[in-house]
Order: sequence, then structure tokens, then C-alpha cells
Amino acid sequence: MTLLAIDDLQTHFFTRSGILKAVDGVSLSIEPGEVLAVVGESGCGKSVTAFSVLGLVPNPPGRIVGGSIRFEGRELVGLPARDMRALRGDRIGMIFQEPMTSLNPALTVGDQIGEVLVRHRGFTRRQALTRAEELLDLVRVPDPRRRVTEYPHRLSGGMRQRVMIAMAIACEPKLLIADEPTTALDVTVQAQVLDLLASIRARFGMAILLITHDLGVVAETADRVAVMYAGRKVEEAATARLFADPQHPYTRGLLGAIPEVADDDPAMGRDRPRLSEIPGMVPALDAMPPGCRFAPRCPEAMPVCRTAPPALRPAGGGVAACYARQDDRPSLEEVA
Amino acid sequence: MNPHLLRVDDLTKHFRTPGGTVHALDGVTLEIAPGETLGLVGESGCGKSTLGKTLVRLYEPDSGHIELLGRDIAHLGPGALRPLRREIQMIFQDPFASLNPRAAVGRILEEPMIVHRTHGRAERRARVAWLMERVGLRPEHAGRLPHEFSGGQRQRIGIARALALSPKLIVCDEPVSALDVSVRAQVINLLADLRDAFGLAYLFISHDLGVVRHVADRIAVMYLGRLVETGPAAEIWSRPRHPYTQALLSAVPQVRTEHRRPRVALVGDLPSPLAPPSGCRFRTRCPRATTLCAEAAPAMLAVASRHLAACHHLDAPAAPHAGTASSTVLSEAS
Repeated sequence: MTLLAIDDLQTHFFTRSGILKAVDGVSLSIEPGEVLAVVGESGCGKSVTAFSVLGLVPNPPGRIVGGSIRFEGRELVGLPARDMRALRGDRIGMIFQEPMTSLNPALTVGDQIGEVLVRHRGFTRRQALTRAEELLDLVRVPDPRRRVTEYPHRLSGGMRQRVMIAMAIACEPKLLIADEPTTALDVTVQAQVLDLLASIRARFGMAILLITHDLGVVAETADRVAVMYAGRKVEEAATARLFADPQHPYTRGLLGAIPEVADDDPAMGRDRPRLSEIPGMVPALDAMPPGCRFAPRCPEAMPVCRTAPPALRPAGGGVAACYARQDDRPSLEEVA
Repeated sequence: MNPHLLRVDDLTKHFRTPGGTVHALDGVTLEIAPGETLGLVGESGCGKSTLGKTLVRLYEPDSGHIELLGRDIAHLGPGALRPLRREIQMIFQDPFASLNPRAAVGRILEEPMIVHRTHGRAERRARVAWLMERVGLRPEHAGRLPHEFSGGQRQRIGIARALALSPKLIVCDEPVSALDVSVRAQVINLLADLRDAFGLAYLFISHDLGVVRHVADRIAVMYLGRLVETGPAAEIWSRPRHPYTQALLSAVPQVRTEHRRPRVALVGDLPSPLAPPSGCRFRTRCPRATTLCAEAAPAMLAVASRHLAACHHLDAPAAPHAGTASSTVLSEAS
């Protein structure tokens, strides 16, 4: 059974300046044990999608106004807050970009990890602390016996993220939602944390919904990738396929904009080719173009792109929402 | 004639804090030729930003020399420093924090010319329009405030301001780190265009190694206040010699599988700059460390033409055990 199935999710924010459709009809699914990455630039709706699954969209101003989110077959949209709380931290774990703001500065590391077990598993405080020590050891925090008694401010950024991971996996969740988990970390620490997530995933058979803007991280960790742009999913494919043969012009633009130099390439500085640019910028959420949202920046835009939004259709082994890139491309008359 | 635009010799900067002395820079030596881009890489807390800010004399160094166009500016007072400040400008990571939120963009761009009395009123106005056009902004937006621009456009304003006095060197401190991928490419291309048009030299400070490899002619790698390796960018990329550089490069996630390097995993975190390790500062995380490394700090030695590295064990095989360490930890832990 599909572990998580998001269908036509619409999460809107009702603000004084109008309705912001942060997530506007997004569908995603994750199988047990799978790593699905959702990538996109700031404001594309990737984090709001994750928050929607967790029931953490601030209301007001935000609200899920349409679609469904089914986890292990159970509908999460409209689930009472009490039931959602029982799920979060138990069946669904979560880690965020900035561990310091997610950790309670007034609680020791041990009590913080232990709290999850006391709440969801009925452990006593003593049992919880013992398990917290084991979990710290599992996430490769050196000297766990001493660390359980320490407060978060004593830890480095990488250690704090490990503590967050220990909390997230304490109840051995089936799904881990990781929102930019390594963005605040240095590359060598990022490499350690990504290795750690990979080994935990293998050990517990846990699925991961990875939210990130970093295509390098995606390429090295995900099984499948969904690319989001301005509140919509524009492409999805198996990771290797997406990077080898991107279909949507936005995905192509993103990949071309990354400076990646081969080991033996002798060109330096002024001899390097220009990076390919995506002209312009992401449209504001309250001023979305009527057709394809990428059309104003798209080098391949046709008249039809500016009138009606393209649907996701099979393309290059995955799916893409682009009139110019579909295996079973409809004629323009059909679309009009 | 001095072939170097900038020569930095044995530069040291410590910060005294209630918690102790932060060894931000310890004996940093480097040079930049006219028109050259030197990429400076290292992880947070390594001192790379402090180096940039010390070069433009936002900080005064404790000791050492900063020779700009043959003149030592390390300890010049404000009056004597002023004419030289025109030659070296800076671009910051967060363009919003470095732009006055209440000043119109035209005024922000005019200010350096007023302070340095380089242009008359009419000339300034014309130059503001020219600068805006040059960095891809519309001159008719000169009356707008910084918050009316997007992040990428704000960085263009910061770049235009740095260009106002026609400097020879611009210190770019994480200039694209706050930008999304598509906008980042625009700004990187703009910096390259300006370099070609005006013969600018850059000190390009970034934690993003891919970006640095793309823009730099030479790369300097910093760790805990010291340079550990410098050399031509292509050579650092293809034949890194210092174990830290090797680990750093191997940790960069690569989109293209053929670019991936076998990972040299480092154990532990960066030690505190309040109490850097004795001898080689990298030794606490280094797979090659021996007792010698704790006793003596290694000097920068030539390993190839224009390529220097500071390591007692340069010829040791590249970190065999470090890579396997991380994969075995799980079984130890379980």
C-alpha cells in the first residue's frame, strides 16, 4: 500500500492583500521505504506541502482548502488536532532546517528525546533517558552518556541536527519529513548527516519526504524527484532519469544554472563558459500568470502556454507539465 | 612596478571576547594579481569573512601587512586610508542588511562619490544611471527603496555601489549564497562580465565550492584561521593535496554521477576557534595525523608550480580508513 498519497492538495493563505495559493493542486505519493525529494526555489510551495502533511500550517492565515492527504490509508485533512498530535512524532517524524529553533533551550537533550517516548510509548522518565542514550549513540553523537545531560546551546550545529534526528526516529516512524535538513550545515557535516539519514532509512525501512533546494543533495539521496514551481508540480521522475534527461524547461534551466566542473577540466576563471540563466524571476503568489506559470520566463513558450495551464502527462519516463515536452503531445487545437 | 595588486603577509587578527580569545586569522599570507579572481573557501568559523573584512579595513589587524598597490594599509589611519579605499570595495552576502532601507537606490549609489568627492552633481546623476544599466537594473528605478527590489536585484544594487568608484579589487563575501539557483547564475554571470569589462580582480569568498571552482583563477583553502592550501583552481580541483581540501571536495554533493569523488568522511566537528588545537589545526579530524602534527604547525610548501600546501604528511596515501569509518559506525552502534 502507498504510504503517503497527496492528491490535488490546495493550501491557501488568506491575507489582507488577497488569497495566496501557496500550494495549488499538488499530487505526490511515497511508497514504504522510498525517498522522494521535492525541489524548487524559495516560494515554490515545497515547505507548505510538508507542513500540510504534518498539520502544521498556521491557521489563520493558512488553510487546506482542497484535496486529500492519505497516510497509511487514513485521511489527514480534517483530522482532529488531538489525532494529528498522536501521529506526529510517532508514525511521522520530522526534522527542520534550523535545529536550534526546534529544540527547547530549557530542556536537556535527554529529556527532549525522552519526551517523545513518554508521550507516545508510555515510557517512564528513567526508561526514556536510557533509550535517549541509545538513540544518541545511533545518530553518532560521541559520548552519549554525558550528552543526555547537556542543553542544546552547548552543541554544535551538526550535533543539534543529530539530536533532532534522534527525536524524530525515537518511535521508529514509517515516514520522516525532512525540510532542508542540511541547509544550515557546512559541507563536511552535511555529508555526515546525509550518510546518517541513509543508514537509518536502511535500518528502519523508513520512507523520507525530503524538501530541499539543493539539486546536488537530491541527486545523492533521493529515489524519485518532484520539481515544484510557483505552487505546482511541474515534473516528476526517477532521480537518475530526471538528471539525465530533464523534460520541463524549468528543470533544464535549473540544471544548467548549476556550476559543476569536471575534475579534469582545465578552464578557470575567465576561460569558463557562462552559466545558463533563467531570465526574470518567480511571479508573486498574488500575481500568477493565467496559463503555465513558467511561461513568462520560458525560452520555449508558445501562445497556448499563456492561456491554459498544462496538465501533467507522461514525458521522458516521468511526467511533466509542459505543452512542448510530452510523449503523447495533444495537437494545439485539442488544447485550445 | 609591483606585479601584485594586493599582498597580504602574515596577517593575524584575534578577537578578545568574554569567553576567551578567538583566533580568527593566524599568519595568513596571500597575493592577488591585477584582474585575477582568488576564490577563498572554508567552512563557517574558519575566518574567511574576517579576512575579507580585514582587507577592506573594516577590522584593523593585530599584526602583519596588507600591501595594496605597493602601500601598506594594515595600520593606516582614516585620513591616509581614504584615497586607497576607492581601490578596494566589498559586496556582502545579505544585500538587504547592507543597504540603507530608507535611502533611494540612486542616493545609495551616489554616496561613495559624495564621500570621496570624485564627481560633481550632474556627473554623479549620469553615473548612477550608467551604473544601474551596467548591472542590469533600470535607471528609471533610481527613486525606489531597497525593499521594492527582489533579492537578486538588491545584490545588483550592492554590486553597482561597489563599482561606483572604479575599484581595482572587489572583496565578494558570499555574494550569491542567499540567492536561489536561477538568480544565482545571473549574478555570477554579471560578476564575470564586469571582470572582463573593467579588468576587476576579485577575492571571492564562498562556502560553495562549485561556484568558486567556476569563477576562480586560483583557490585558497582556509581552516580555523589558517590557509592550508593554495593553487590554480583547476589543479586544486583535480589534484588536491591537503587532506582537508580532499575531504571538503569529496563532501560536495554532485548532480552528475561522473563528478562524484569517493567520500573522505571527516570525524567530528570544527574545533572551537577559542582554543584551536596545537600544531596543525586540522589534526583532530585528520586521518593522517601523527604526534608530529600536535607538536609543530606545518609550513606552506610548494607541491607544484604556484601550488602550496601545509601538511607534514603530504605524501601519505589519501585517507583510506576515514571513508570506511562512517559506514561501520552503524554496526558498532547497533
